[in-house]
Amino acid sequence: MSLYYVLSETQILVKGKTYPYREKMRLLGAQYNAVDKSWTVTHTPENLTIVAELCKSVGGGAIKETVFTPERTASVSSSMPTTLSTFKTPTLSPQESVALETTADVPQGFSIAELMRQAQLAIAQSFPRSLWVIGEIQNIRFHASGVYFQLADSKEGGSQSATVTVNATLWKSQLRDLERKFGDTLKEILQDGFRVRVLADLTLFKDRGQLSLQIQSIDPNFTKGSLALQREKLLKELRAKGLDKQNKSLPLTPFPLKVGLLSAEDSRAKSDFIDQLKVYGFAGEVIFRPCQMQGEATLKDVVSGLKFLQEAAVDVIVMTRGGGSAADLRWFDSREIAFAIAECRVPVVAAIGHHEDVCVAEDICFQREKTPTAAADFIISVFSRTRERLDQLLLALDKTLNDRVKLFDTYLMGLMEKMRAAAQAQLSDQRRLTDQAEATLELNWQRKLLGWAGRLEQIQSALSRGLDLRLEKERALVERAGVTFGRSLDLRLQREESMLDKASAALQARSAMLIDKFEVRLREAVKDLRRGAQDATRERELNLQRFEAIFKQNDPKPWMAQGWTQLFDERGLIKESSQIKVGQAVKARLTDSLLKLTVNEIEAPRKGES
Amino acid sequence: MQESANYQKMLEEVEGIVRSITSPDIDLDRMVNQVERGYELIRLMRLRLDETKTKIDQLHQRYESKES
Repeated sequence: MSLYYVLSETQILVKGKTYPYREKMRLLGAQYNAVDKSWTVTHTPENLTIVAELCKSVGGGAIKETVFTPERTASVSSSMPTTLSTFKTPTLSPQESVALETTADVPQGFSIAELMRQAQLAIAQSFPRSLWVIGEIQNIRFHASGVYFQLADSKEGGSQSATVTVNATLWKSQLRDLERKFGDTLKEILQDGFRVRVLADLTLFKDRGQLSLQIQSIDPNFTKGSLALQREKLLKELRAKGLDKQNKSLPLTPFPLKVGLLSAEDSRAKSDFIDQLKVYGFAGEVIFRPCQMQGEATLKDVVSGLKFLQEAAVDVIVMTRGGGSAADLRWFDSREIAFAIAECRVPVVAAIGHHEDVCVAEDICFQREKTPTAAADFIISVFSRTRERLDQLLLALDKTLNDRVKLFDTYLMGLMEKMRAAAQAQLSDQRRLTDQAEATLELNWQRKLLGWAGRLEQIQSALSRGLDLRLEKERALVERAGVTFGRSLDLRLQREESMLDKASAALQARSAMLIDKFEVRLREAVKDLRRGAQDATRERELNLQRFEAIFKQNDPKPWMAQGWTQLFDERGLIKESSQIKVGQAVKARLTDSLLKLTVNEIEAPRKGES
Repeated sequence: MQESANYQKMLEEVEGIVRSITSPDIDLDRMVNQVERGYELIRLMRLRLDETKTKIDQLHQRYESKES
């Protein structure tokens, strides 16, 4: 960018790339305008000469067509009519005119470079100062050199998605200045989808013929106001439909033992919340539903998470996120989450940001807490409140019961007093009546006794007479019965004795006969026994005699005594000469010793000997 | 009972000796010993028989005297 100047009657406005020449501007007594980054110099012939030479030396020059009003700050939105003048036919230098004369037949036109230069000049002349531009940020990219994005507007007459865009750049040096100026607010604003109002220089990249905005400053209040407006609009709609207090009006169970937790997986918020519950010894159950709490997926995750936890029949839902970027709070200003909370049948406790601004979700939920720990404290406080309430009820009940007891006590005391008095009166009456009755009774009793005594004497004498008569009759009867009984008893006894005698005689005869028979049998048995024993011993004796005969028959001693013996060797008995050889050892038993012999000669059998 | 069993054993031994000595190949030394053992067993068995007979006679006499 070069240096340009605009003349007015009293001042010279120097604009463009002024930073390298700031010292020269100060020497001219120029004043710096930070808003549009221009310098204002008093219009004198000397100053004009110096400024013109300076601009010329760097390829700039005067801008004549634009009317410069020093008191007015340039403020031109993209929708405002521009003062861009139409391009003129290029003014040719004397050298160029000579050249054209010699090539009169060649058709004339702009080269692209010339076109770009003219366009750049026209833009510089039309927008000599920075201008305020309003648009929605799209495709924002953060690089080391700066921030790049597009500013977009909905196209007039087009569909909702159709937009008209212009590239914008926030250089690193400007970004640092703005960060110093606005702090974290700048980060909150520089996000896709946010409408912003920026102060920018409109430039043309000649190489690509592309317009671009060089961001100089930003108006954070505009963006905040825009978001606030959207938020207010949504709240108004919710109020109109009666949904803003719907979740707040739900009854919260006095013992929320089943808590639904909606937070990011492995987040600090989740652990803080659960740890805080554990600190208080929470005895219930936490049903955790992981979901994104920042980014595009937040809407879908939170809405489905609320639905899931309702179906899980939790007592209360805690929706929480950690610190994170405050810009991500805007998802909780969304219509989808707001309606999901409003229509939720379970009380929702929101602890989604530590920021001062309250988002719609927090505004319409049952309870808003700043931190996950505070949300856990709230759950615990419900139990505490319930206990306090129970204690209060207990006290009230105790007091009521005491009052009732006292009342009944007093009433009973009165009743007892009355009863005692009535009882005493009754007793006196009864005593008097009893005395009278006793006297009457005694009188009657004595009369009766006298009557009874007379009757008794009569009965006694009558009984005595009757008893004597009866006794005499009974005695006579017994005597007669005794005589009769004695007689019949004697007869009976005689009969029985006779029968017994007969039976005894028969039994005796039978026994004698049997004994005779047994005696005969016994004698026979004795005979048999003796005979059997004798036979058995005789038989054994005969056996022994037989064995003895066998032994006598086989006994070798008699024939050994006559000098006979046997020859034998280690193989056994020797019966024939063929069993022995000359020189062989043989043995022979005598009656008193054993002979060990050697064969000297074997004679052949003589004729006639076998 | 024990005595009966002993008598029976002695009888079986005598029968065994008889079978042994009637064998044609019996050794003379063994035969002499067997015969001696047979005579001894027969003597013991006869004694046992005599005792038995005496006992039977005594029992019979005791019975007869009781009856009379």
